[in-house]
Amino acid sequence: MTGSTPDTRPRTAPGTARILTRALPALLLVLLALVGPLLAPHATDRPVTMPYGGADDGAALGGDLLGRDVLSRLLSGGTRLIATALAIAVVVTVAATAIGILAALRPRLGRWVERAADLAILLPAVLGILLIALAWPSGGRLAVGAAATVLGIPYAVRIVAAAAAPVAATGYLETAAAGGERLWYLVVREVLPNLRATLLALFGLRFVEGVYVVSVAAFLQLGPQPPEADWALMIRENAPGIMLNPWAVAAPCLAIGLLAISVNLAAEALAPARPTPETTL
Amino acid sequence: MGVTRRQLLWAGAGIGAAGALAACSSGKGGSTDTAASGSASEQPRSGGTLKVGALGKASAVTRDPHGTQANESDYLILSLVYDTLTVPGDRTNTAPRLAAGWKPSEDLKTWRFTVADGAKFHDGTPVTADDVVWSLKRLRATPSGASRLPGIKPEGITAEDARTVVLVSDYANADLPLLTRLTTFVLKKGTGDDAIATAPGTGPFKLDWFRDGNARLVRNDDWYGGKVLLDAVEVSIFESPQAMANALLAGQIDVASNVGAVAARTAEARKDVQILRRPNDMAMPIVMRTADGPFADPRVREALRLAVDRDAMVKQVLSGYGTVGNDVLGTGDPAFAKDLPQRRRDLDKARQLLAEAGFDSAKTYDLLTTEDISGLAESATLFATQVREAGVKINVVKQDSKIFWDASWLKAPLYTTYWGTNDSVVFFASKTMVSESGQNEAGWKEPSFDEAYRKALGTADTAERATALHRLQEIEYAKSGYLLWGMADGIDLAGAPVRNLPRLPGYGRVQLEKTWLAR
Repeated sequence: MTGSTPDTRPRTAPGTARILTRALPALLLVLLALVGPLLAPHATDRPVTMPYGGADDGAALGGDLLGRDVLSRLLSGGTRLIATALAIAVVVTVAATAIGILAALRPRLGRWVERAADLAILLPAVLGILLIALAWPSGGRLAVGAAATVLGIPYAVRIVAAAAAPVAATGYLETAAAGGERLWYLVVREVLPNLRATLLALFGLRFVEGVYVVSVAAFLQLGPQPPEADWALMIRENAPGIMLNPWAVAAPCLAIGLLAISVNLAAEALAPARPTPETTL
Repeated sequence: MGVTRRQLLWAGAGIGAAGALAACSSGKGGSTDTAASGSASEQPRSGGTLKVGALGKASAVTRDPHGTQANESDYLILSLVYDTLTVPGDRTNTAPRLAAGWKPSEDLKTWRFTVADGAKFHDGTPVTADDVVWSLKRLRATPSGASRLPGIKPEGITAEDARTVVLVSDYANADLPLLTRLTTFVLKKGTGDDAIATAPGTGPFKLDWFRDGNARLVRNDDWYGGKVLLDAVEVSIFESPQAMANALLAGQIDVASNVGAVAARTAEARKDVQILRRPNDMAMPIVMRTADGPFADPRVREALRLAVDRDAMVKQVLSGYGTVGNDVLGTGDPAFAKDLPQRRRDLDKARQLLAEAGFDSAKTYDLLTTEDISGLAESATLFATQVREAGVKINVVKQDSKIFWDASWLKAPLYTTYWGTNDSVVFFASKTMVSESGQNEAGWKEPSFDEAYRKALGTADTAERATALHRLQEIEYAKSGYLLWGMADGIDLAGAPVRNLPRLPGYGRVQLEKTWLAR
């Protein structure tokens, strides 16, 4: 798995402590999103202060456009966003892994897969999401999630296929194939373990992409509908009052940004040192 | 916000405002609104250019005075260049303009309007009754002409002599002059459609230039209505209230017209900005369908009216820039029934009424809304939250503006509507509540209401008419499909030197001929 090229010094797996510190922000945020609704000081749909009221004792981060507590809505607004992004990331990564490895092991099929993926990549994601969401207006979150998944797979397939190609060409794999091992055995036992680093990185990226896509869609009012508390929706609906209560916009902005960055950090920390294609295995 | 798709249907039926008698409320946070009242110690001064920002979309710009003015900016420009026969007044619903006076016949069907003395077009030609007749007929021939001049057929518009115009209505109508406010712009007889953009008007200002919705207007020294103080008015078109408020705070414009509560609160901290509140500017009622569906039972409608927390609605949706409503439309009308008991929140009574009516509380009901104007969708959201406490589950559905007006308006069992003006009680009755009205938003057919309405229209005697009007409002209060939780103030921002801006709600705010600059 971890090999070393003759000209570089062997890299050791990062220490557990370092992994933890890097993964911690993401874990904390996910945890907060899960238990946040329980911590919220107020109901998310009850006005507690003036519209765009400033931060005070009643509302730590002030009020939103209807005077509802921004902090409570912030604590409750991440759960579904994270869940949707997580689902998108998982489905995209799993599907792309299966298709990508297949493409690497069966080159004739692979050529077609890659051509199809190249074509699909050309379609801008947001445009595709708008199309799907408009064609399926009652779909809500599910429609956005499905759209993001379908549009995310081609790109991910290209990455997996590219990473799997050198593995597929290795001697031990050819030996196994010649030995009459079944396809699923080759995929699961021979190729997958060698792609762990790539896949973790891919998963991290897909999650960030998922957050981004779901947020953009919510900002464009596809998916969550008021009065739901949702970070992206908060940014949109509180924008007119940014001069009166900047927190109503800044807090959800920061939350989305932090989430994306911390998950990326965590994925990177968890990934073992990446074998380069030239690595002698 | 302003005139919308929908208002074209009834623009002309007299958008605008009943005289607002509400006390001037001074702005908060150190801003005062002397601009409105114009303090007595100052002598009005002539001169200066007033830069006004108004809302509008470049794609909807129209130059035709009888067209559909979807933009506030266009309407403002047109009303400064052209005159209507009558305008909204501050003490009465209807004040004279190009028509100096009017007189009804005995049966209230025939009305004679007299053209004002010395009224001239900008090119110097005197205004004759023929010009007025031609303009009114042109207005009547537009697609929405029938609703702009209701009850008046094209052949009912004639000239008696050089200065008298006769309008004949199909039915007795004591409020006919009210219908001639706001869209009866008078052009020269025979103006071709290709020359509309530069056609001379009779208004207090002449058009200097017009570019993509922005315009510069210069004083008409010969205006028959008195001395105009400003040298010029420059109108700038803005897509969003925020952009307009920012332009005002940066000093690029002197007046931001109809800017909304959020922008006003942003400006509160600024000492050099005047905040002008025009009460009773906009109604945002919730419509409950009376003809059929879950809200057909009057007890259910009553329950919802008791379940809503009006004070909270005004405070949260309008940022407090508004007044609590009492389910009767036309709050600025001098004839408004102020003696009807103010409905307050009473959840127990609401629950009891719902139980009596056998209302199905297990179901979730859709409340349809749009984002046409700020606060509309928010009002629906908050309303849904409030009535849940009475056991009514409501799901707010935001629709695209076009879909809403095509598919939901006038048809849905529960939706939000808005009237960008607060006209007279009779106006709302005739447009939205009488059985045969074209925009009967709740599908309401109530014989006793129709009877009161006809009595109010067909009565010349003031006392009798007042009784009939009061009766009409009592029925509306008790049974109509409207839940009017509050009235939004119209809010303008103005720079420190601006004086004597119009105070009237709705489209009364376009009368800038008496405005002046103290600099």
